[in-house]
Amino acid sequence: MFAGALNFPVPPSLSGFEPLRQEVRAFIAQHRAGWSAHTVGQSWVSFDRDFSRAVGARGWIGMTWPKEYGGGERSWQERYVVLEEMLAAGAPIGAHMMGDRQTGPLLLRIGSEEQKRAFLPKLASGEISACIGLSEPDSGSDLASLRTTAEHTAEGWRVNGRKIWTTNAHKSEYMLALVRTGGPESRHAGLSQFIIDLSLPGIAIRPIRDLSGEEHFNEVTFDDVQLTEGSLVGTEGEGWRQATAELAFERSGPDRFLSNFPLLDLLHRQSSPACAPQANHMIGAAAIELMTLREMSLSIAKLLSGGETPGQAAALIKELGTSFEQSVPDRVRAVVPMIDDIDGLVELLTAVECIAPTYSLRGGTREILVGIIVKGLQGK
Amino acid sequence: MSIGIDIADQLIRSLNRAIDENDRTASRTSMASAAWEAIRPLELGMSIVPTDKDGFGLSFEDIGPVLEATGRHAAAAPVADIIFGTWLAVEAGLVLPEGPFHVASTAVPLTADVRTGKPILLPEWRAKNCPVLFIAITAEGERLCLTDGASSASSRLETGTPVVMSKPLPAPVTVRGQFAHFAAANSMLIAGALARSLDLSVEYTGVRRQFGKPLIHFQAVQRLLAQLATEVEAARAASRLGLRLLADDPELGAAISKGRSSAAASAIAYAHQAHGAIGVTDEHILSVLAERLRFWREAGGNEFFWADTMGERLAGMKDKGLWPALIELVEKPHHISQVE
Repeated sequence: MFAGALNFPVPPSLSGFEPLRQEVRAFIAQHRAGWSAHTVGQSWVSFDRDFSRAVGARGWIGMTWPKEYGGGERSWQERYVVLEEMLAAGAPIGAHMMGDRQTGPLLLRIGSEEQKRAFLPKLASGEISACIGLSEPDSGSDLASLRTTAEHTAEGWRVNGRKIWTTNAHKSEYMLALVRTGGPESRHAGLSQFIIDLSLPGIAIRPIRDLSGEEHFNEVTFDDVQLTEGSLVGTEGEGWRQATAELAFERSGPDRFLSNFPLLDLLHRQSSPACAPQANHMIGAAAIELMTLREMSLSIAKLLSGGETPGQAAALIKELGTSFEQSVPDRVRAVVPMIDDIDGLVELLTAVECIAPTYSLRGGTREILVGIIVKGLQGK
Repeated sequence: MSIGIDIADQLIRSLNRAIDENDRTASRTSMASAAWEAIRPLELGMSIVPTDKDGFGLSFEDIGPVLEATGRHAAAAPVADIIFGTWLAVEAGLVLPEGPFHVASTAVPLTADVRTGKPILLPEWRAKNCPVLFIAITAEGERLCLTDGASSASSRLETGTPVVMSKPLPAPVTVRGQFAHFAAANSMLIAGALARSLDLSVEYTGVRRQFGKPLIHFQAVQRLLAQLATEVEAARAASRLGLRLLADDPELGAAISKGRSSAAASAIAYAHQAHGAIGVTDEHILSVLAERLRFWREAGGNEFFWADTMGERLAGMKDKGLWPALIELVEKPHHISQVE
């Protein structure tokens, strides 16, 4: 209604899905005993194939996809309910998160019939995982400068180059990669997407140990890797547009503000009477911020479900949401002396603090998002 | 919702016709009366009064755009006061006199006689001769009271101010002494004023050049604008959600909206930084917006008050766990107002 105002439509209520919500809570209650504080603290990056298979068996991966491709033909609101319940519990959904959020929807939209049949049912059952290959050693935020190449050959495509910071590549069967099919100076116009079987000859995967002592990130090297013709996803040269269309999904979901919710939950349950007034205030303030973020996120989910790609509003939510998430450890520290290690608080806090710097790196750095938001403000 | 947007458009047009906001020579009193004359024909008072009581029957959420427009304009007209005050008066069966009035966002604990027990802050920019509607907390429950215009000339409602009318309210509308519905209304005023400060900042940094290029081309400046934009959208989303929850759960609606918007109000600092010194001059509209925000962020309880209130409420739901408690609050079955 006013110049510069982003479009955040009124989201629908999710109160009609209470039975599903209760099913998810009961399912989580059955599984959560096996999760360490470390697992919970790293939530959607934690990779647990068995758990993902169990989630898949319940029909909770690819919920909105057509049944013929292993989906459940359910509403986006039902998917949202399942996802927010998983995140609020710190469930280890890393093995299916990318497939459910990005790779599956991308294949559904622009993949070939053969690709849909080959990958979607297995992604939906939690049987396979697909990582996302974007960054390279010399291309981080400046993604248009990618140098990994795919050259058209008689048999298909030959890939050479190197991807880095690829989350969970060492545990995934496939990579959805953005690589250069045009000339070296072709920038955005020369990029294409491929779905790559990571067991192919010529692929070397080197996990990179991070500050949590874990290996989430990887370096993946491609040395004359031969792909079939059918590995190209969508249209040659359209990779940039195809990949960026997915970013609104990646940036506006509840994974951008619930990543460390279990920390707040623990404090809510366990705070001692001595720190109760401060803890109550902190929980109250955080709850107000979270419910606001959820309102915004649901609003964007509604737009996405209608086929729109509200990139600027999604960037704004990610910036606001990850800033909130990054503030959570200090909010907790302000009210509980760490010496009172209530119920594994220190381990959970440590796990969260080790991953918190990446909240504003993954899925577009804060600095890139700022540029996108300001373009939106200028009506560009 | 679209009716609210239509009324908001009419409101803005009326205010723009009546007031030259760049005219700093006009006195506060003349600005306030011009604003009142501009909005009077819109009959805003009837907007959220139920249709069975001859009102327009709009919901709290419907009226959001009107409040946002009022905040944007930084109008000296008591738009939120007229809308929420008339609604309350109709609920209490209190017949208001013709003309503008203000609403006190804080309730007054009342002792023996019908006189106010403690001072209440009122906006500095209001018309000084108009009556004030306030809620008194008595042993028998809440009462809606109206002062006479002449004796409420100061920016405070002082102890001993005579009350000309008083009626019991059918249901309580305050939470820990704050008029909850009016707190949510003030939240949307904040969202509007902040949104205006963002528009002004984008415009100014797009025109003002230093080092040979517009300021908006500098990443450091873009960072300011993006931070302001996130707070604007958060304030707007929280206000809308709060207004939606208000009918069923005034405490929750007020806590989410006012708790978030009052915190966002400080983001006007980013607009000031983007404007440089010109933004703090008396002639600049940004200084008017800043004055409004300083008042509105306190009116009906600030972010600290509502965070405490929300925290206390959640502390009473410890057995459920924090997430189920939050979902239970915001997803009550009777909130189904928009089904896909």
